[in-house]
Amino acid sequence: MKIPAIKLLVENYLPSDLKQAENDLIEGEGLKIDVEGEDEGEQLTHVIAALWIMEEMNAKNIEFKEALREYTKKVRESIN
Amino acid sequence: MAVIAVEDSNFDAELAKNPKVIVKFYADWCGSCKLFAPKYKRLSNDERYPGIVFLEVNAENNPEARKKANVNNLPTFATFQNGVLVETLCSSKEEAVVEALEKLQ
Repeated sequence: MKIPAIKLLVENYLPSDLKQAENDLIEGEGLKIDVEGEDEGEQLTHVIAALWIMEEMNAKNIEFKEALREYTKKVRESIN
Repeated sequence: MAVIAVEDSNFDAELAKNPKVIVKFYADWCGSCKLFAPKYKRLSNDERYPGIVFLEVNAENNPEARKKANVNNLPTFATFQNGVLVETLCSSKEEAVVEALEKLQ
């Protein structure tokens, strides 16, 4: 998982674009947007992260950095 | 056989009642975990592994189960025999999981 890749998605796409990308990756179809990642699994992780962060930013009216902090905390808690 | 979702509260009980177990640890934020889900389901129905019980644990909400399998990345697959951890494998490759299943047979 690479934070710059997630940031690019948040800055450049709408949630609907990302939901489409999520669906395309799950269905094994070609992506219509640029998503960085070493493989489909990492690409999907970036898309899911960007969607989660966007929702958090909107729901709590917070900036990207703060939502990103919440996201990385959530990830760390799953593997520590 | 279907994949059984377990939590901290019933993890030990499932290990105790099933001699051969594989556990997939996943999280909703993990893309590789999501992509592996249909493969894991298919493996659970594969007749090559009739004696193995397939479990899955959401790593985000179940720290105790996570610790018992030494999870530090996702997806992680752990095999148990008679309640004892045999192997912990962090991989998104089906061949690696199949290899772990063959060893558990």
